[in-house]
Amino acid sequence: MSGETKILIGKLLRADNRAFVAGCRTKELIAPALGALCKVRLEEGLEIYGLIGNIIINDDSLVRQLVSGISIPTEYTEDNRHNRNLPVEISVLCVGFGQDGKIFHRLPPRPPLSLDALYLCDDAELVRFTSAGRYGYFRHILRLDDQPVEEILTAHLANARLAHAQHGRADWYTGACQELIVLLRDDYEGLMNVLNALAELE
Amino acid sequence: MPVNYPQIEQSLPAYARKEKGFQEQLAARKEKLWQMFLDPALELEAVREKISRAQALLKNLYCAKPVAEALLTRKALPALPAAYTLIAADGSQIVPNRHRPVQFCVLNIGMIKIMRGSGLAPEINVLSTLLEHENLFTSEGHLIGEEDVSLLRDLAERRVLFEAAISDREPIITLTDGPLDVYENVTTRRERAEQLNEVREIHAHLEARGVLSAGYIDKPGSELISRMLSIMQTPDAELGAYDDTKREIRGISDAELLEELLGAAERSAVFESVAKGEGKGSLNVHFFYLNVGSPGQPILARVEFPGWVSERPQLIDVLHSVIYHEAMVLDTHPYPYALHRAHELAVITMPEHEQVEAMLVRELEQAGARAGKRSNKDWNKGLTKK
Amino acid sequence: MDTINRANPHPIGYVVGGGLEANLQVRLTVPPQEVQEGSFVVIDSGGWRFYGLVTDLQLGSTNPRFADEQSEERLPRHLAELLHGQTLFTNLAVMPVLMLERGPEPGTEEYRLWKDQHPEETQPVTVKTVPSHHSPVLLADAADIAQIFGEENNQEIFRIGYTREQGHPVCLNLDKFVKRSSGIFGTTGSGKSFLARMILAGLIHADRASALIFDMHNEYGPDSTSSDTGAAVPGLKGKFGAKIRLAGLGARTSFGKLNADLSLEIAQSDITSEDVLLLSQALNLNETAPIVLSALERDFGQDWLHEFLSMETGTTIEDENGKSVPAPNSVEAWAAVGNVHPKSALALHQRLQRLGKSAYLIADPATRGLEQIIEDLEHGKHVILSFGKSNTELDYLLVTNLITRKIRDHWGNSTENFHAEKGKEPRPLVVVVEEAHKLLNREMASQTIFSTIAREMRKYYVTLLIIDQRPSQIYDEVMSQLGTRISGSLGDEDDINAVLSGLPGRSALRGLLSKLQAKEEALLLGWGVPMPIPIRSRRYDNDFWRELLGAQASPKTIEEGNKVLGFDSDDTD
Repeated sequence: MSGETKILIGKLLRADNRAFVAGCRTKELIAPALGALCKVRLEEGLEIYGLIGNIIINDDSLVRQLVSGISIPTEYTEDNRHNRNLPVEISVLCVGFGQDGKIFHRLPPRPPLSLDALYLCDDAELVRFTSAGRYGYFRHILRLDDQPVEEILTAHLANARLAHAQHGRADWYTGACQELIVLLRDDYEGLMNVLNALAELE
Repeated sequence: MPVNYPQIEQSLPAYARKEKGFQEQLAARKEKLWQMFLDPALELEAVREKISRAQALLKNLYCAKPVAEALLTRKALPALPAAYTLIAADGSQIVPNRHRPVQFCVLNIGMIKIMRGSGLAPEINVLSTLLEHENLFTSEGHLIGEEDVSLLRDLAERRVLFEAAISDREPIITLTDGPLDVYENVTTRRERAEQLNEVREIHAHLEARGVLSAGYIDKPGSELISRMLSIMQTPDAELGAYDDTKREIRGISDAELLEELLGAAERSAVFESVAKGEGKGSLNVHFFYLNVGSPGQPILARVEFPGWVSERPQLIDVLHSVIYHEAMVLDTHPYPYALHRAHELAVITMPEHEQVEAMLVRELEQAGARAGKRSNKDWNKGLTKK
Repeated sequence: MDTINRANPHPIGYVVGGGLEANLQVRLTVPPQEVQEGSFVVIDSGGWRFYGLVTDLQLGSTNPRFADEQSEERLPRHLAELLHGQTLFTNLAVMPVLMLERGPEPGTEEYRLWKDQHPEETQPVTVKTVPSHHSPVLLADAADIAQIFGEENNQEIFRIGYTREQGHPVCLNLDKFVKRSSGIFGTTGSGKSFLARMILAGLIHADRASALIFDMHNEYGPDSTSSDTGAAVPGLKGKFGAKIRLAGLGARTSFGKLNADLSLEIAQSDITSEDVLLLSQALNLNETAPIVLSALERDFGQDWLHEFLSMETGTTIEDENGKSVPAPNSVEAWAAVGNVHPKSALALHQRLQRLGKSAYLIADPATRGLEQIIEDLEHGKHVILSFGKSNTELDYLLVTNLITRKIRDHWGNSTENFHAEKGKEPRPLVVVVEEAHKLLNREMASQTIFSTIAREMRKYYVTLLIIDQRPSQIYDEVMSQLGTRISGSLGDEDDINAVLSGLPGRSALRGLLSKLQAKEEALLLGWGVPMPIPIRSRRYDNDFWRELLGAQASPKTIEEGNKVLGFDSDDTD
């Protein structure tokens, strides 16, 4: 896993087979973006792939107190930005796993039990994951009911499209759009939400 | 399990009445103490002289002694130095628990070093130490307890500060939560003597470097000034037989007293903390009270520092303004930001505690050592815990 | 049939539902503009190839909102395009007609075993099952069409036109065509006479049957000019020369520039009372006519007409008593004797005058026209009978019915001889009648020989080819007996229904029929074609003749044609 952007996790807050939530340090907030593909190591040879579904900055009593102060010297704001483990929760949606080099778009056999790091996948890995199979992992995203499906999808597709343009298949994006239309053909609201969001990518 | 609220409820009215009465009593006492404090006869030299005499006469004495400023001194907030280094440390610990499968002790010291005027983010560090196995037991063979560990922790805090107190941005101020000195209340032991010695040495080095150490006591309850006033009231003849247990006005803290005196951001006069007898520490500690509240709503804290600082009044000003400004960063509930952060860094959460325990258990098993079991009492407690 | 390399191997869709009764439903995977109603499609499934006709295209959507809202406006083009085929789709209704067993994948072990069990080439059969869901649907290519309709061989497999959407040749099996009575329909100007001429040309060229053409409007024999375009239209005589005998009704009938090869005169003695009754309306006979006619026949036998026409009317003589009585050779006299009311007899006599005046109906014909015609037909020649100036409805009805009756009787005898092994097999004959609704309407149908022939279905080697623009007027029992029907555009709903009478799958075909393009398109249907199919008609022009007869054999004149065939130019037997 060398050469990849590594986010250190403060702690694993909750995890099940479908998603997990990890706390991380603020400074790294620039790194994970909505819809980015990341992975965590479950055990030897087995890693879980996930999409960043939500980034929540929880309330922090100290920050609230700080914010109410009249004028805060730079050192203190910098302390909070760089040093403090602001309770940021990164919500990660499981979209597949890799075992001994093979990629599957099914849910992983086990959720992570503890985490020390989350790795952001680079373009090559993004292409590798999204090229495997036939867009099977879309169903995990479409299954969400408490998060904005189309936003996550669009963010992910924007990344994947760019990556494929440079390293992968030129027709991947069209295939992805077609697959989405097939999956959502009976859901007018859902499909139009997704397509309207994707329209922005043009 | 469920509290029998009706039973309690029955007692409430009487309780409230008594408390009210008590408060009225206290209010009266406070007024009286205040009047004593205002006594013009309490002139600086007179007080110093009498307390010194009491010091010489008594075996146990624990009170305040003014250093160089009149009793009713109120100093306004001086200007804040443009640049300085403020280093705060706080510690937390895992005390060995014989109910757990393994016994171990962890000291966790958090430190923050703020370079004011630089605009840079402060340096932070957390030092976690697993106590050496040979130090786990007293010479009598008991598992060391809360107080032993606290002492070790305090020591660790000071060491950390000492090592961190190097900066090209002067003045350097170190800050801890609680009294400056390290105290203990049980019978002296040789190890403890060594520890106290170490504290003394640390402070000596710090003094040599010109580093200002301070301890911050939030909501101080001590009655050092009250005792001083009591002694001043005692006729000279009875001085040798002063018995603090018979002090007339008790229960009014110095902070409560000085609330009447200090305006927002003002400090009181500097006092020496006279401590003689059992439980004595190793340092010469001075202090002042600081009002970190807002006009009409006084909040008093006590700031302690080594005696040598008093020789240079401008250093006292530095402590005054630096500590006041630090507390004002969190102005809704004034408390030095640096201490809060240091505490935050030091805190050991239950999951972390358990994680360390699990690591140790694993290691023991690998090494072929046996890990014990939780005591039944402890295990059963876990059941009903929410 | 083993493998067929397809010209266009890309499916246009896949089966999603439907069935044998209600048509198959096919989801289109290409833009709907690439497929037309009437397209011929093939579906491969389970070792069988199904052949069917697209009878409808329907637009659909998984949710009406997708259809209502113009996604082309809201979404970028490539996303909007992707919706087509998924949320917005087109379904085809395909009428399955035939299926052909092809066996397993060629080159496999299973195929070898199957081929052992089915050594001969399998033939298409009527569809009895359905293809599976998702079976690919493809547009038929030329090989598929040839598989079903036959490969043109310039003999009995005759190219009649082309598929509308791709222009593959479609052939008519002329043997099958003449095996039962057939019909060519279409409004005036729909091109049916060109179709008829082409088919006749093909028939004559293939020489599988002889044709007797009642050419009421002088269209078939000589060259003429197209009334619409003014272009020259080659005639059959010009192209086939001596194979065609031009017969004129009455002596000295000519065919424009051509002379008749023979004249047809009909003996009065050939007319029976039924022939006359057939003309009741045309002759305006009253209800007493039948009685009078039967009396005449009773009294005079075969010569009744001659005798009757020779009678005078109103002539009287005086008898012994000086009383005025009808003259002996008068109608009245006969009526009195023949036990017939004089007035009825007179009425009839008066009406039958027309017959007496006819140019071709004579007492004692000099020529053996009819026998000659029969002989020619038996010997493999083809006869076109022109009516010349005698082309009233009356003439038409009388002559066609009479001649056909005689010919049919002759053929009937020949057939019986053949079955009794006393003679050779009769030459198949096709009698071509236009304006068939005049002969075969409900009232007439029982009286004319034509409906008999239609019903007999070539028991006696005689079939009809009827050409008509008002099929709804034709007795539907007769219509339903027609084997092959070739229909150009028809305006009237009743006419359309009539063409379909007796055929399965009518509702699907009705739509096709009603939308045929005039002059260019026709629909082939009925027993004589393997499956219904709309075609773009072949053009009846010089290219047609060149293709039919060969490059050098397109004589422009009779003279040239006769030279080619080795005849003298003035041979007008």
